[in-house]
Amino acid sequence: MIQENEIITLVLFIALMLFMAFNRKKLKDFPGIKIFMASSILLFLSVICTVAEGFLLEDELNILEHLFRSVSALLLVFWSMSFRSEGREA
Amino acid sequence: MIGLIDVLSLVFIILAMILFIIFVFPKKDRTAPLFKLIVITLFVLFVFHYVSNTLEWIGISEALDPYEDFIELFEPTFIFFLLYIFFSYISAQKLRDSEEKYRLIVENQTDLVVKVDPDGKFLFASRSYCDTFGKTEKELLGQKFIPFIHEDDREPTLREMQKLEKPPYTCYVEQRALTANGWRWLAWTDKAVRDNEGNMNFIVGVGRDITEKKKNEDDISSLKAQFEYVLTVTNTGLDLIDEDLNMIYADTNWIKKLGDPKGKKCYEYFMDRSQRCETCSIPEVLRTGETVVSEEFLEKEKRTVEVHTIALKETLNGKRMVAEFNIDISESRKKESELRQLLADLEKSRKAEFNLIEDLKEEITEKEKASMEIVRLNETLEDKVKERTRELELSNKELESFAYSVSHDLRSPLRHILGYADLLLNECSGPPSGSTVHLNKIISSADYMGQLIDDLLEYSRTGRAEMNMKIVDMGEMIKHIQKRFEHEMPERKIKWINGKLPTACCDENLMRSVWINLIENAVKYTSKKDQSVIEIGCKEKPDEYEFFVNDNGAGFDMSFYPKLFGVFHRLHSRSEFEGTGIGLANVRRIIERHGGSVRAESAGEGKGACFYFSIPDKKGTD
Repeated sequence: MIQENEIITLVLFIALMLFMAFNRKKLKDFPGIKIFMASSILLFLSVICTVAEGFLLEDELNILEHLFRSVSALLLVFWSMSFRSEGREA
Repeated sequence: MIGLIDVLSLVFIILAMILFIIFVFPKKDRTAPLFKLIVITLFVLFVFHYVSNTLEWIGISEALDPYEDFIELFEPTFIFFLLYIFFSYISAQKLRDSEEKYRLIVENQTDLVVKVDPDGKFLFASRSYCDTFGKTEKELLGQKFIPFIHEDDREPTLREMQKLEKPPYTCYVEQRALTANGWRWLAWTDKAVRDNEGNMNFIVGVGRDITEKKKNEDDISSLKAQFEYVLTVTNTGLDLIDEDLNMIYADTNWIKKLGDPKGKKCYEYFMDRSQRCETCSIPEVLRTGETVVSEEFLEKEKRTVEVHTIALKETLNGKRMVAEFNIDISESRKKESELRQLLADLEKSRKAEFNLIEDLKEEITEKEKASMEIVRLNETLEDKVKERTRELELSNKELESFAYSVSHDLRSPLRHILGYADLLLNECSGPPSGSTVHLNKIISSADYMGQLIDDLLEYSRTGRAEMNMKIVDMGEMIKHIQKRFEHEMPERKIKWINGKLPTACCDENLMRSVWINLIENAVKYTSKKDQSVIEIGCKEKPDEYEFFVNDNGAGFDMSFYPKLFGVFHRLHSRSEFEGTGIGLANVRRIIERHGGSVRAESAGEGKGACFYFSIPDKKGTD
């Protein structure tokens, strides 16, 4: 079953991804951008899984959704750790 | 399985939030507060999300029911915040890039850039400014800029900066400042930055080192002064005129004489005319580009100038120009005129001189002829004189010989007369009669005649005797003569006054004769005085001695002086004083033979007389 808020979240995420793709050069000095982007992409994948599980492979995609979120959270740990060695901040 | 994953996710997100707080929060950054707030919010949302999942997994999902709506907002809010962060970051990045760019420009340009507050305290100083003044920005910030300025330039600077308070809120100042390299000239363009209410926030100044430019300006000023001095000294004027005959420039000499040339045409300025001159050479000079030299008379100044008109390559406002050098030739013209007059006069004078020379030539020729004639006559005259002298000498000798012969020959008959007269007188013994008186007179006259003959013979011998010159002590000679007179005339009272007499080179015998004659005269002519005073002395003169014999005797009238030294001339009768009148003539002849001279003085008859004779001092030469 498709939920309205999930679709909105997906659309917003697509917009976020496109924004990050177009401005990747300008964001290159953003602290820990690579880890942060990886975390965001995983989060985006989890949202896709959330939407997709309403149509097929509900359990598998649900597991993937939570797995992506978990890895995304783990990457945020690394992202926070990257500030230890960063010389500058946003 | 899913629940375990969610628990892990919760642990991870809590760990990430803690690490973020530890590493990021202590750092200070002007964009950090908002960034930190948003990231923490996201972490909180995450926490809520995973707590919700975990509780759901445990089976107490109803505990989160009051917060269900809040949790539902997690992902859209998360994305919104992320977008906001990224936008903020990109904007901040742009600002940083812009700032960096401007900082790069400011820091790397050679011009000095400063920002000061209205009190003149530094808010910013560019690297070039810091380098110039040998200070760091930190040392400058908060300090006033005025102390760096030369004392003499402070007041003008502050006065100029007052313009910043009025539109257009800019000013330009040139000042000397004490830099790390000493005093340097700096030119500042200042701009006041104001807030919306019009109050001055700060002043931005851009400065540049113009020391070299100033030096060049000084050099140019100096050169200009020197150039104008040269123009003044050489009495030369310089002016610039454009192709429309407008005056562009006139040197200070022109300005002093004719005033400011601005806005005037050249013919108005120089000639006081309303139309251009007919002989104006400027169009021709501009057309051909060749220098034209002309001569003009300046009506205003009443003087003539030689004008060198030169086309310039430079243009002014698109118009071509010429430079005119005006050399004052009034004086030289005057001098030329004077010179011409002088040459004419000279030519005239030369012609006159030529004529004069011609006349002179003729005169010289005549004079040469005359001179030659004179020389010829002189030559013959000398011969004639020699001949005459010889004849005269011969005649004198013959005459002297004749006088001697006559005198000598007369003595013989005279002796016969005296002898026979004595015999007759002896035969006429008895009382004196007329015959005896006559015989006595004959004998007396014959004696006198004999004396005359003796004197004449003596005079003749004096002239012919050979001179035997030697050094004679005159004092000794005088003493002997005086003794002789004292011996011969013991009855006479004579006071002798003898001065100091020198030795002299002379013939002793002849000189003795001189002294005897003079002293004898003095004794004779003082015989009627109760007390005879005879003074003998000498006055030493250069190259000669002048001896004298002075007495207080009869003296003489000076009117008869010319006859005094003549032969047989007497100024007194025989009855008054005896004598033949040949003594002084003898004295003169002897002294003249010695190369000397005689003279006599008397105050008058009865007032004594003084006889002088001088002879040359030949002691040194012989």
